[in-house]
Amino acid sequence: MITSGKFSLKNKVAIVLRVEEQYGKAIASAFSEAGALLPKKDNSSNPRDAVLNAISEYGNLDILVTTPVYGKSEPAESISTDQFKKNVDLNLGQIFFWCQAAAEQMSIQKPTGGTIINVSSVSGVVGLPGQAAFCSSMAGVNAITKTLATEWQECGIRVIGLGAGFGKDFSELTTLEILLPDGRLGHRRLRENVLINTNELAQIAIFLASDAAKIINGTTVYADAGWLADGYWE
Amino acid sequence: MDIGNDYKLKRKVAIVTGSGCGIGKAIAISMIKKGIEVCIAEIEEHLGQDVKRLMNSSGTRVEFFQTDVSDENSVNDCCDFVKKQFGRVDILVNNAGNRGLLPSKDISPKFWESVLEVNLISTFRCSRIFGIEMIRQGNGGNIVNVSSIASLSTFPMRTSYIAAKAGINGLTKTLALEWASYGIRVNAVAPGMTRTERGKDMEKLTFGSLREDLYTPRIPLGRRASSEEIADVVTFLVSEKSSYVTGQIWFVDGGWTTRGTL
Repeated sequence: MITSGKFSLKNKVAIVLRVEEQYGKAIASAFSEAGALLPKKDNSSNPRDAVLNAISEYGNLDILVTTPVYGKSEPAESISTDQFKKNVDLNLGQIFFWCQAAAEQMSIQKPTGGTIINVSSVSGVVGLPGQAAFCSSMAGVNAITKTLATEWQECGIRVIGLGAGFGKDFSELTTLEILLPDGRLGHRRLRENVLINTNELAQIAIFLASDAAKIINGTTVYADAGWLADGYWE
Repeated sequence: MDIGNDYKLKRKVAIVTGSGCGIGKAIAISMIKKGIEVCIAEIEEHLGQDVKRLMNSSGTRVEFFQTDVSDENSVNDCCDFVKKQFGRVDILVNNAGNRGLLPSKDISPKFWESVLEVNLISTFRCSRIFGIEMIRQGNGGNIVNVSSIASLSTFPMRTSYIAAKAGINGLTKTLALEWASYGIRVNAVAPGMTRTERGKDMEKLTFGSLREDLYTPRIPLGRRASSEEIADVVTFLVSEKSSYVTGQIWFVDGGWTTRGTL
């Protein structure tokens, strides 16, 4: 990975959400290696406090990376409305308020500006059985990425989505087999070679956060090894 | 639209949420005119009763049940009412919604939640409650969610609404996949700029590109939709003539989302 010149994150102050989860962990560690400065204090509690922590430590905020939490699969009819609501709050509501807190700072600091990367998923584009709340949330995240980019571009803030494909070392989608509605065992629309790992995802996040990607804004880039493009003709 | 017998709509039973006014009312009326029996699930009693009175002489059964889609008990009660009064559930239209109009920097958690609740969470709530009934009946069913062009295009000051409507698109696709094996089709209609009673408030707004005189030239068809134009697409989607359509988001927008520039 090139991490020099425009591709470098050297001395950029970055908050990575949910470093205890797979996405956050891999991205935070890759960002550190690429020269980014990550606040030492725990940032998982409150977005505004996390931003204040970063400011008191480093003086400004250049990058925010938000990440979702993938939950277990369950048929829609057995998910309670409360469960659905909690998941949507976790993966869409909280993501918005992290973006808002970061943008508040990015729009008042001198010079103004910054980059927000929302890690989402291919499930923001297509449905995944068993993931009603996650799919709703990821479609929502892709949409707010667009609208926030539009609203905040005048402050020099870029908002970009990074849509993850199916992973080797995250989510439960590690098996290629799936239980079909009629009880038979089928194969997921996946092949071993389209499974990505979080380190590959993190490298793309570095590029998107760097000055080399300055022209990318308000769109979601999919790191899915071609999965969305595959029409499933065998 | 001429809906003959082969559309198989007569004596189907539909619940239309938020059908006391605007697009919801037009959907209820469009369906009743095609012979679908409709339960008007509306929070405002006088609006719901008005639609019922208006359509009482249609020869097709119409009932009103005061329903707050953001209240689990209220939706359960509505489902019980429909089962008791009509005997079954064939069609659900999740139309109830509200708008959130605030710059993203000023959105409070309370404001965010109120917009997500009425638009997205309630769509899940009603889909689940009525969907379970459709699964139990074993005769399939039809769900149409009312989304918006805002789920694809961006609009200033509407992040919470956009998040909720895009969420509805995601939910539509997932439910369609999950419930296809039960013969339940799930689709969404995403209206563009539509003339409604409530929309009159919008005309007073003077910011961004949402002023009618500014946005109308942006619409390839050069005008807003009538509520009936949206409603007829919904009625088509619940008919047998669209029996191979599921998991789709149909943009009924006069070309809005196809056009790239303002």
